[in-house]
Amino acid sequence: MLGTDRHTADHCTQYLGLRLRMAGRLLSRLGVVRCVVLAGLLLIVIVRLAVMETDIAQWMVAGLGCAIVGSLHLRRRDIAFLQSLNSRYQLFLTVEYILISLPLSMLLVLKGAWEMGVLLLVTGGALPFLYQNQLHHITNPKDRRPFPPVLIQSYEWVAGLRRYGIFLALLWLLTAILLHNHFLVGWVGTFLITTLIASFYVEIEPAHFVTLIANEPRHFLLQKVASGVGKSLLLMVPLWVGHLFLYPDWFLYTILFGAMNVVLVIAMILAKYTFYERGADLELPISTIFMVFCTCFIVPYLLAMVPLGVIWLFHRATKRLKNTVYAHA
Amino acid sequence: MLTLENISFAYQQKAVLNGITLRLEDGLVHGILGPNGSGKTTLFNVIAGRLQQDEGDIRYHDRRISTDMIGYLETNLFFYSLMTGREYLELHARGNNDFPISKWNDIFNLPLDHLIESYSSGMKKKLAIMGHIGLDRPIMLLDEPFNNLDLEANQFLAALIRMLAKKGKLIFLSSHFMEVITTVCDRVQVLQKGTITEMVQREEFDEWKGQHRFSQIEAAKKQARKLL
Repeated sequence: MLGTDRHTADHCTQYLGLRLRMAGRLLSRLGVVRCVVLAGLLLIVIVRLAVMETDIAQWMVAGLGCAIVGSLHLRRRDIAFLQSLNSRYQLFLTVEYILISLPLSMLLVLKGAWEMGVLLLVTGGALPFLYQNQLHHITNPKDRRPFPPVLIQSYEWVAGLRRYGIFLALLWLLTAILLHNHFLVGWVGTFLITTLIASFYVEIEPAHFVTLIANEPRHFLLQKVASGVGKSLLLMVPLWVGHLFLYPDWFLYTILFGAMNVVLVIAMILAKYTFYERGADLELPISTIFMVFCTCFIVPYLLAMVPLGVIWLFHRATKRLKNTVYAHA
Repeated sequence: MLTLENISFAYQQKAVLNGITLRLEDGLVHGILGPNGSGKTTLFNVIAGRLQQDEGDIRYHDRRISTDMIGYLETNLFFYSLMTGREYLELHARGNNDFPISKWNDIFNLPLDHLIESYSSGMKKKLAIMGHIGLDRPIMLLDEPFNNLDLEANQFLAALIRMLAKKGKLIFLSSHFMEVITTVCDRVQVLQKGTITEMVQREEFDEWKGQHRFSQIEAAKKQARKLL
């Protein structure tokens, strides 16, 4: 038994070392300039959150931590691979998520919110045991459920709901149930839903899916944005209405927060087509754009960058679709 | 001995595996032959613990089977793109001191210090096969192991599988191709619509191949002639 534990511990250390090396390779691939810009943005966010004295900062840090670990776990494709290496693979993931959550937990503890810090660590540590996405929700066809026909037209939403539908429904229900407890619940819940929706847009569809929808890139992008925003609003508007009804004093902030979520969805749709390429892995570019936009929303003097960013993405996405899809259609 | 007792699995009320009972012995190469959609991969997924059977029991030497007993070479292989071939092998061969990576690579000749994303599909397959030798599990499930390999590598893999069985491994492999499976296997199970319809021993292969060719291919050719 002890021998087995020792073997698992050694295997786990080897796996974590490998993940670290792969992260290093990813950063070297991003290049010095991009790394410096991202590190700078991250530093601004951390300093900003560290100096904020209100409860909002604690909720934001906890929400950010949950979003990072949750999206990482939901996006994993290596669960079956890890299971084949070691039957105690959940331990690998637990240690990995605790290490990832640790800096934000420390920040929470330093701000005096040690309960939230511990909760964040426990959530990260327990996630691999609570939700085994690949083994039970992707590989097992029995768990796949049919979806309402209204969603069939959107490739990303069909694929996304197949993968994360239960999670999204749970999140939505939890937010709706807990909405009356605190005004921040609605905001955090909406933000997590937006994060999940953003992850739908990581999948690449074949070029003929694009040309089937519209004959030229601008028209296609507008249709995609309208469809994506429409579906997101279907999910989020009931929560906003509940929030406005329960906390009328926060009316303006709720509207602004809602708008921020819509802009994030638009940015993710455009980001997908900005980096569109057959067989490409969009996880990194889309999550980077997501983080950049989130940073711009948190730091007031970067807000002006948001509309410019959306325009830039629209322009780049049009150009990319023109060259990679429509030029060959 | 790996024992599958009355294994059933259904997908949205459609039966994929129908009461499959098998007894697979250590030290032999067992093959499963069946057309696309007959349930071969589903059966492998059930044995490997990726899918939970609706009914039935799987035991290895009278013990409930665990994933630590199985090495499963899937058709769709997974690799971290930013990992090198050597790191992949080291991860698989952890705790196995009888797996000298460089000596094995003298046979497979892969650029182990390059990132796996630069490998061709055949090279990835070779790497996965090496990884599974390094894993050193008593049961080896090989789903379409000969796909994506060139002729030379195919012949070598066939010989390697026979050597692994001689060392005492229980090997269970699938293929669409009768010629391939009858070259490598000691026993072949035929899977049709989720049911084992036949079990053929090595000494019966020649006769069985003749019958099978006549019954299946000739019937299909006749049908095609009519349609054309």
